[in-house]
Amino acid sequence: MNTSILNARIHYMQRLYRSLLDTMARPGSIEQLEPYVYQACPSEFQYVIGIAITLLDQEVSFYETSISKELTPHLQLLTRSTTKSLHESDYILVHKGTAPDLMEAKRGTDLYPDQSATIIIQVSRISDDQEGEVRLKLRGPGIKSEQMLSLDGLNRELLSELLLNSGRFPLGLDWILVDDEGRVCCLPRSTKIVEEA
Amino acid sequence: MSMYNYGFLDENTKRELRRKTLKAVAIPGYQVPFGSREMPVARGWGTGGLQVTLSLIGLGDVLKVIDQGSDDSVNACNLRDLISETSEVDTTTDTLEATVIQTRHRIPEEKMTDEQILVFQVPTPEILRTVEPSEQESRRMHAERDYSRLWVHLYEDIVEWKEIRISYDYPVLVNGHYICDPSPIPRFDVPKLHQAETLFLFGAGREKRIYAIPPHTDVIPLQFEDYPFNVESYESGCEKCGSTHTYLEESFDSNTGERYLYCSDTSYCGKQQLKGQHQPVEIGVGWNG
Repeated sequence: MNTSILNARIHYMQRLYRSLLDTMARPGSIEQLEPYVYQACPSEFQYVIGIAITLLDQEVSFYETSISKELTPHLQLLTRSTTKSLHESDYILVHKGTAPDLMEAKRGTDLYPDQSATIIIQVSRISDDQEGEVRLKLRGPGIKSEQMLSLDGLNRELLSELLLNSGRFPLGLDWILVDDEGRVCCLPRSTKIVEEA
Repeated sequence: MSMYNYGFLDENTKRELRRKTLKAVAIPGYQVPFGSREMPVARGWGTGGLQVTLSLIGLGDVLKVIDQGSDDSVNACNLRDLISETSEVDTTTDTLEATVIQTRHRIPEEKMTDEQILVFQVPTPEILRTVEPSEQESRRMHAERDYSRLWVHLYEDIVEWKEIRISYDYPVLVNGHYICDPSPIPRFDVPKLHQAETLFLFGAGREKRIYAIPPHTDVIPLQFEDYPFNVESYESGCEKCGSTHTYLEESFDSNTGERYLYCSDTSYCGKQQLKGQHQPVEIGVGWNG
């Protein structure tokens, strides 16, 4: 790989990380990602792959929730990360339309709450309007009083998992939600989430 | 600097720092272990803050580095040179212009915004270390939120001295859960951490820990109802700029023995002096206003 392509990727990952850091620090705020151009994969995965190359390497493991596992060989090639089962993985890539049993995902221990899974989940649409199928009210660190978040394409079972997530703080899962247009929003375990009727 | 990777660190190191920093932000006040790397400055000279800064800085950022409030100390200059040369960013001494500020032991006098990140260099991240030497045991105490010995430590100060005498590394309760060390900032700066606009990241290179205080998070210094937390106060203002609302440092004239107080934040003091000379200067608001 020549230097300019390598440098372009380095700067891409830095910008993507700053977006993740900004939204992790301000849960419910929405950042726009740039697509990661990788011809071998369908374009619907261009944002998830971008997040994966920014965070994954040979020191961590991932699990892909679809039956076909179509991203797995590509991510192994791009990141050298290894695959593990759902309950052992550091990163869980949740495809649209799948409903993995996230009860099994690791939530850390009282001594090491950081040794917990991060969920990278695809939804159809993330916005701060009131139009979505699911409307969430968020409170907690990073949020001044409260923050509204509107989601389309989040499965009910996963939603109920998300609503329970802050209940066992400091144990829990940290969620990175990404939509079809590359909007990203993080919901760490510190965020208390209530569904609005 | 093409013989180095962008931002000095290799990409695998940055990836680990980024993963750990995201976890740290998700668990406010909890110290996340990380594989601190050898840096071209000695451990204990800001390597933790340096690694955190290098993992997040990018083209377009504007960097400020301070050491005890000063932009001009040897440590601040060297760190600033290293970061700016390897990551090709502009530098500034003006708090208002910076997007990333790395600091040793001070928070600037001008209030920081949600567009800025403050990175602290931390020598001893474990606040329980004064009451418990064992890492295994202090980790258990955090897990069980068994902070009684820290409270006793404060109480003993009151019994002996009629006040809590901790002047820096003042223990704070973050988000109502973990007690953490806000790094050796003076008590004067501790209230700035509470419900701020800015993300605060803490890096301890020698002790291999990263932790964070997100914006809009409750940060409460430990205190007793009858012995409330208080900040430093001074009988006079800064000798150079006259400010009476800033953190001041003492200095002696070795010939006359006279004692002077000067602003610790040299950039702010410089701006105040320009203002005193009626020169055009933009000064940010304080953390209270």
